[in-house]
Amino acid sequence: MEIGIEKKDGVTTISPKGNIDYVTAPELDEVVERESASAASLVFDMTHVSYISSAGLRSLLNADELMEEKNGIKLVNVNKEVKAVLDMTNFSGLLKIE
Amino acid sequence: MNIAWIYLGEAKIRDIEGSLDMVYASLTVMALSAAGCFFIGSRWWTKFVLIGSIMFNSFIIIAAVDYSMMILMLLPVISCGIYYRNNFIKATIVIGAVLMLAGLLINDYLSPLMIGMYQGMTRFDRAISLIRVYYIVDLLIYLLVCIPSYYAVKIGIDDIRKQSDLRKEKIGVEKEMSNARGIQQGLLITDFPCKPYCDVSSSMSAAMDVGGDFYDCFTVGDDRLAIVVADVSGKGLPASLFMATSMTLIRSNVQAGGDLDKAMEKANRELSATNSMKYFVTVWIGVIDLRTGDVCFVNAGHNPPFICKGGKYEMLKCQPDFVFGRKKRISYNRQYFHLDIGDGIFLYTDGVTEAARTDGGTFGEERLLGSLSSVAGESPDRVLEKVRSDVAEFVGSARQSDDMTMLGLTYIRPYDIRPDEGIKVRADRQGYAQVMERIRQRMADAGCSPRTVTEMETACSEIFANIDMYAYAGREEKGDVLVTTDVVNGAVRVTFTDWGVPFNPLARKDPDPINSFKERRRGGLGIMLVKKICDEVSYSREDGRNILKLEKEM
Repeated sequence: MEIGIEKKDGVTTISPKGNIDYVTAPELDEVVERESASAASLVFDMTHVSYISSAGLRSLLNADELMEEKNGIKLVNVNKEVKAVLDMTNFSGLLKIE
Repeated sequence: MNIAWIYLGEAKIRDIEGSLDMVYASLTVMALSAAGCFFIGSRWWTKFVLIGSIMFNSFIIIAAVDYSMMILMLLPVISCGIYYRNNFIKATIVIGAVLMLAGLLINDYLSPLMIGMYQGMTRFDRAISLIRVYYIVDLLIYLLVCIPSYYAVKIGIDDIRKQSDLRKEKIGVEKEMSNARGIQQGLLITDFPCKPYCDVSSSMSAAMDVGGDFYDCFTVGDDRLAIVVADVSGKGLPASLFMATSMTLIRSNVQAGGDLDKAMEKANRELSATNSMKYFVTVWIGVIDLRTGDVCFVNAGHNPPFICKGGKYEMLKCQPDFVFGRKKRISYNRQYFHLDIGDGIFLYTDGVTEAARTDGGTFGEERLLGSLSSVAGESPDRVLEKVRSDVAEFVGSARQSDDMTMLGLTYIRPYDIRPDEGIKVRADRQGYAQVMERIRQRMADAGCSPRTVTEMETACSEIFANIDMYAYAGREEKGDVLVTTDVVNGAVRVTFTDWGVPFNPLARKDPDPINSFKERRRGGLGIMLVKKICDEVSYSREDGRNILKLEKEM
C-alpha cells in the first residue's frame, strides 16, 4: 500500500491510499510507529481510503495510544463508508474526526 | 287583611291576599293543563298548552314576587348544578325551604312592627298564624320556581355529560382509525425488491382513513418479480381488514411457486372460505420473468392496465376472469405479454378513471391514456406524478370518493446472473486479492450500488482474514477457500467455504461497545462489523467444511 507522509510544524499527516485491511494494516502500523516518535501530533488523511476493516481500526487504536501523551490523533476527510464503519463499532465517539 | 311588610330596609308593600289569589289561580291553570294532558294523552298541541301554562305561571310569580328575590331563592339550586348529583339538589331544595321559613320567622320575631301587631298571643299561636297566613305563599312560590329549575339543571347537565362521553368515544375511535391507517400504510411496501432490474413507483391515497385498495411487489424465486394491484369492494375498516387478508394470501400462494393461475385459484379458495361478509376483490397480478421480460398475468375482474411498448402507451388486451375471493370454484386463465428493455406497465384502480368532477364528469380511460402518453418513456415516479396532478386538476374542488391506487414499472435490465461456480484460492494474501477483485466484479455486474459494494467488501475482507488466520492455523501450507457470489431474492449472497478446523466466528461474543480500547483489541470487532453490515450471516459445518454465508439486500 502506498502511504503518503507530510510533515509541517510538528504535525505529521499520514495519507494511506487504498483499503486498510488485514493485509495492508501492518504496513500502516510500521509507518505510525516510525512517525509517532518525532511527531507532536498525527493526522490521518482518509481521502483515498475506500474502506477500513477491523485490522485497520486496530491500527488507528495503536496510533491513538502511542500519541496519548502528546496531542493524540485526528482523522480528516473520512468518506461515508468509513464513517459508517467507525459508527458501527463506536470508534467515532472515541477518535477525533473532522 | 292587609299587612305592611318591611323587607330588608327597602320599603315594599305587598298585598298578601292578592298574591295568594294569584298563586292559587296559577296552580289551577297548571293542574288543569296537567290533567288535560293526562286524560287526553300527548298530542301535537300538548307542548303548547304546557309551555303556555308555564309562561302564565311565571308571569304570575313575577307579578307576585320581586324577581331579585326569586333569583336569591334559586341561587343554591342552580349553583349545586355544578356538582350535579340528583339527591344533592333535592336536599338543597328541602334545606332551602326549611331555612327560608326559619329566616322569615326569626326576622318577624325581631321586627318591632310584628311584635306590636301580635301582642296578646302566645308565641306558638303567633308562629302558627304567621306560617298559615303568610309564609305559605312564599313556600309555594319557592317550590314553584325550584322544581322547574331542578329539571332544567338536570336535563342540561345530563346532555352535557352525554356530549362529553360521545366526544371521548369519538376521539377513541379516531385514534384507532389512525392506528389502523398506520398499519395499513406499513403493509404497502415502498422499498421495492427489484432494483436494479426494474424501476417501480407506487401510490395509494385512500378516500377514507383506511382504504380497500392495495398494491404489492415481491420476488418469486431468484429471477421473477410479481406486481399486484387490487380493489376491495367497499371502503373503511372492514374493507381494509379484507384487504390485509387478500394481500397476504396472494403473496404467500404466488411465492410458493408453481403456475400463476393455479396459485391464484388456491388463494381464491382460501379467501372465499373465510369470507363471511361477502366482500370481493378485483385483482390484476403479473409475474415478470426478469431474465426474458415475459410477463404472465391473471386478471380477476380488474381494470386492464396500460403498457408502454416502444415509447407508446396502449391498453393491454386481457380477458377478465371472475372477481377474487367471492366464489370457491373459479378457474383463472394465464395470459402473457412481453416487455422489452425500456418498456413499462401502469396499473391502477378505478378510483383513477372514475375520479369525478362536481358536475359528475369522470376522468376516464381516454384522459388517462392522454396523460400517460405525454410522459411515455419517463421514469415511473414521473409518470405517477403526472397522472396524479392531471387527476387533481380535473376534479378540482370535488371530494375524493374512492381510493386511488397506482403502480408504475419500467423494465430496465435483464437479470443475467448465472449461478456462480465460484473461485477457489489459497487462503493467503495473494488469494485474498483475487477473491476481493472477483467479489467486487460480480457485485458491480449484478447492479449493486457502490455503497453496497464497499460495505460488502469490508465484511468479506473480515471473513477472509479470519479464515487465513484461524482455519488453517498451525499448518505449514495454507488450505483452500472457495468463494461464490450470487444474487437471490433481491439480495447479494457471498458464500465462503474452507476445509480447515471447525471454527464458528459467529459464536464469539461481541465486544462491549462501552468497554475500553484495550478490551476491543482482544478481537470480535471484525465479526461484529460483519453482523452489522449484513442482513443475514449464517455458519454451518458440513463434511469437514466450514460454510459461512453473508447476505445483504441490494
